[in-house]
Amino acid sequence: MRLLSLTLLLLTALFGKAEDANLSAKSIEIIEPSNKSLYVGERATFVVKVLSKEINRLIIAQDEGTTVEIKVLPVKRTYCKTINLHVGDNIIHVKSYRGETLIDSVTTELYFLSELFEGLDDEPEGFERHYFHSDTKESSCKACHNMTSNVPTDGEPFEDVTKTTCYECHKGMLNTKNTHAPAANWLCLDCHDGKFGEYNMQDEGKSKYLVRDPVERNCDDCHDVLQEWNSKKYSHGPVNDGRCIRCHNPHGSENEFFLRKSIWDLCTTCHAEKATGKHIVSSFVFARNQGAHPTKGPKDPARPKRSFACSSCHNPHGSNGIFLLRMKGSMPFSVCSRCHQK
Amino acid sequence: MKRRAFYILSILLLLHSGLFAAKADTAESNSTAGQKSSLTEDEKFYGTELRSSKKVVHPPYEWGDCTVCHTDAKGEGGLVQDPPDLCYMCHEPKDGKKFIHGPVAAGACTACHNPHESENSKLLVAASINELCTSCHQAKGEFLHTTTHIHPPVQDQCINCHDPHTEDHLYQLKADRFMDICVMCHVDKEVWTKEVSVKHGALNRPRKCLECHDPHGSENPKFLIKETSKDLCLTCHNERLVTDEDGYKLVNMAKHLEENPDWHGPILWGDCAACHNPHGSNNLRMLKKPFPTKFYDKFDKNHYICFECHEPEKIQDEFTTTATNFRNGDKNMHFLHVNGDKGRTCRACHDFHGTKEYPHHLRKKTSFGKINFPIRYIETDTGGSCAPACHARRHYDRETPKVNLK
Repeated sequence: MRLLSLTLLLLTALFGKAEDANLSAKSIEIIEPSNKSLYVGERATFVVKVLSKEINRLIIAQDEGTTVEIKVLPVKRTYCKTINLHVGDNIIHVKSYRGETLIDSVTTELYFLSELFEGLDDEPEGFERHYFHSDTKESSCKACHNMTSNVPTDGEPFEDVTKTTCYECHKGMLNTKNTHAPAANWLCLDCHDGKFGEYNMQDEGKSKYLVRDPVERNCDDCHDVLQEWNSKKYSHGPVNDGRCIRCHNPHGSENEFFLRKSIWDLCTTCHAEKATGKHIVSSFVFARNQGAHPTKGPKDPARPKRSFACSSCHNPHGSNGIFLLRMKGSMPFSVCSRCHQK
Repeated sequence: MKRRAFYILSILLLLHSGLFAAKADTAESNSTAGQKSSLTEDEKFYGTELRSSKKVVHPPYEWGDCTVCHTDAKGEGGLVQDPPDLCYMCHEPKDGKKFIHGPVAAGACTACHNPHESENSKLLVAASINELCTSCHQAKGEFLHTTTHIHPPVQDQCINCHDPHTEDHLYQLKADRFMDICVMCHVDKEVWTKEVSVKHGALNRPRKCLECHDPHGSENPKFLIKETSKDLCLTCHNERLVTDEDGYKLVNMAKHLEENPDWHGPILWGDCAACHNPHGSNNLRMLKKPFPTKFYDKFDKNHYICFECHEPEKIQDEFTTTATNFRNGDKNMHFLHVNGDKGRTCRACHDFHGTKEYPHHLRKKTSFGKINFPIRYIETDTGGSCAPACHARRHYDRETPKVNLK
């Protein structure tokens, strides 16, 4: 009996050793993200574990040639780096070097799904939505990072937002011209509360910081507009769906109203047939009008400080007028009088 | 013994005669009716002089018929009955209601009325009502002589509110002392307090009007019971009270002011009532003029009580070097933030009661939606900067205008 257990111990030891030997063949391990991950945001964080002490630098190379170099220190085994993805398929190589000698190269394929680019807005086959903040994955971060959120949930942001635990890793995402207040004040949990909505029920439990989809209720908590918009006779698809974030980036953007693109570009992303810049309005077919009403270019006569765009005539949220026109009463052409006052 | 009986009798007789004197008085007032009608309403109300042009004589005494009251014709004997029953032989009883004035209850009619004759109306023993009342109510007499602000009806005569004989309300008041008696004159306040949409909860507290006012008078204007309206308001607003209209939980103002010692002018002067109408109003928080409830609003100086004191130019002039110090060069930052259809309201950045952290009554946090965003203001000698909910840190400078990229 004693002999048997000794043999078992020996076998286990041998087996374990064999596995170690297999691993040592590879010099690096990509802990995050797993191959064939699907992203809905543009930023992907690589967590690379250096397995061989011979490695002294890492290079993350994106398919369009962008590279990031990480110096490997003898005392540190795990390295994180966030890179920006481009829309669609991304092939990323993580290469390990000893001096100038390439030791290993691991290839990861990621997909950045964006509804703002036609043809790239369908979920590709074989990819799985990527989530980071699960207990299992976080356990590998704990050595270096405080993974317990200290983000206020009582609507009282820190005076010094750099003290929030999210800041350390996510600070790069707020480097935009306009930043949305709850994001700039690092009240991440106001939206990233881990709850799911009717469109992302399948993601339940996959992340501690899941956001409800549709997100409209989170937005309405502060903006208090839903009741009014929902009372309109006509409303815009994304508003109907409650997916404010289709047009607005809730963290921030270079554009006004945190829009994901400038207004005209944004509208013509879906309404591509309007992208000629000309918009046929029946009374504008004459040659002198070059056959159509312009949709961008001049200043907006009705809104002196803003340039003309789709939203000059259409209300992108909802309207009691057809075509979401900003019309008064029941006459569609009353919208014309916003500018044409004679 | 005989002498003693004589005195008692004469007193009783005197009492008895008072009854008829009253009737004589009525006759007299009728005879001078033509003269009196020339008096204004106020003069009639405030007419305090009791001194009669003619000597007022109790009719039985005038007739010389002492036996009406006394047991003997000379009036030297005892009285035919003990007062007040003696008086009530002719006069309606004066003790029929719930509360009775001490002397009336004790039957001491002669404490106030002379039963034989007097220089004063109603055969009273003093030349004015207040003189009469304060002869016993000495503390009130002292009060009347030493208090700065006396309620005019009190100054006039106590019996404007108190019945000298008997009434159904405590202190022989003509109506309930907490409000009903007040609105007998202040009918405008009765209408106002009932009709306004935003009411003051103090009027629902047990002492109603008397929660704030001393009906006799006080050292303070408006007969307030505290030195300033602020002192008064903070006696209740030292906890989080709830409005009756919508259950809104008001701030604990005493605590707020204690914690935020940089007070807005009117509070510094102790005058909450500079902005709030303590009797209620049709504006937010009983303000005397409107004030926006929200973070954003279309700018109109008439929508803000603020411009009762502050100059609207500080908002309306796009370029200025004088109207406001919140400017980048001559570009008015108030205009930028506040003017327009979707302007930020004063409340977005300022706390109109008290502040602590920042100058210019800037609040530490601005409330938007359910979040209180710190504004993170930094002042410089010639300008400042802030990093609130709305944007990244942006700077303004009156002398060297700043360019903000974010």
